[in-house]
Amino acid sequence: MTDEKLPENFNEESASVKEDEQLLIENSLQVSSLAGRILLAVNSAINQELITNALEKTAATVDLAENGQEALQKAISGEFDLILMDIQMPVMDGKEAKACLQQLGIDIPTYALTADNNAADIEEYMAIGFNGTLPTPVNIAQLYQVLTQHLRDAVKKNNPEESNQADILETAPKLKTYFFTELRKQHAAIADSIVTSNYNNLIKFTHVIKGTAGSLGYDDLTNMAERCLTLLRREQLEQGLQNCIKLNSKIASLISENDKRELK
Amino acid sequence: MSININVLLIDDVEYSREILRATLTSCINTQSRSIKASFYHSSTGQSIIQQIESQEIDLVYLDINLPDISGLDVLKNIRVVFPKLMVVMVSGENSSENVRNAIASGANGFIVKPFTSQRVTDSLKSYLKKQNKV
Repeated sequence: MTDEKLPENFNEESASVKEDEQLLIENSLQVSSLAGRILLAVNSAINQELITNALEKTAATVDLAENGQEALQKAISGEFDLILMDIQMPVMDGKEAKACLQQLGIDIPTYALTADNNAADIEEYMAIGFNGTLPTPVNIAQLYQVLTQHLRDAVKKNNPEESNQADILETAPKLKTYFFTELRKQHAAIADSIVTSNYNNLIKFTHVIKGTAGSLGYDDLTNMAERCLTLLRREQLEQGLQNCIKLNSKIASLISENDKRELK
Repeated sequence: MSININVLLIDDVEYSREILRATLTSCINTQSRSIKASFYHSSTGQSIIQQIESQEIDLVYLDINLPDISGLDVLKNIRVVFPKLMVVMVSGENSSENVRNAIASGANGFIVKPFTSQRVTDSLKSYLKKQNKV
């Protein structure tokens, strides 16, 4: 970035830009260890590129959404530490998406990315529930300040909320026995449905597996079941059936692994 | 001071209810030891209003995909009688149609299977926040 390219009126702000740059250098030394999950919903390709680049210098993972509706859907089903969201977006704008998240009690710190930053605008965003705003064009130093505030330092401390699904099995050890009893039944039923090409039953069984296995830490099973379900619903029956066969052999191997553990 | 909450889980798959109950129990234990939850359940969308009344339910987790009636219709029925009861929708899919309908029908939460402990914890925190305001 060279000075000639900046517009005239930018000179007034040059002092604060220098300060920001200084801050940026100081911050960049620390941001590399920032870890967490960020949902980035931006409408402009340039902003997306700029912010993604800045985020790549941290240890955080980034998930992208193209509009407010997609951001809402992702926030509902995923786990995030921070949402950065454009106000102006197609399909559903940032204000509506944040209002929906608020109604649903989804408590993820959210910052509005916007060029509309007068006091009345900011007041409106805060009233909806935004935690703050990041004026566009995005100032990287400001972005890093927000990250420092909301992401955890991967080196210094672990996230206390990372209690994880393993805890669920600890609080409910019976659930595991239950899970495998159910899995055994499902295995037999899926095998039966594969032989008789009963696609409706396959949809029913894979739907249940998709919705349950992941909660107990069997993410691969949930993923495989989801793949089956997608194919069957698209009526790609041949491929769907093939994937059900794969899923069922995965189930069989999990059951036999578990049996071996129980014997010991 | 301990808080007692009566939680109603509505889902036709017993096993799904058990997972949600275990996830909630685990979240309650990490959140606060002073919360005591009693769980009730229903595997259909029938007679839910009566059940909420007789069991003095504080918090409902309602599956959208019920065999007899859509969970969204159950939600609408609940809202007529209990405008302020906290109802969290549960679904295998986060389709935009489901999410929009749930919000329009007055859902206070939406969690997607398989459950993540973050989202389930959110629903509990949000319940407690509402209680404190009253």
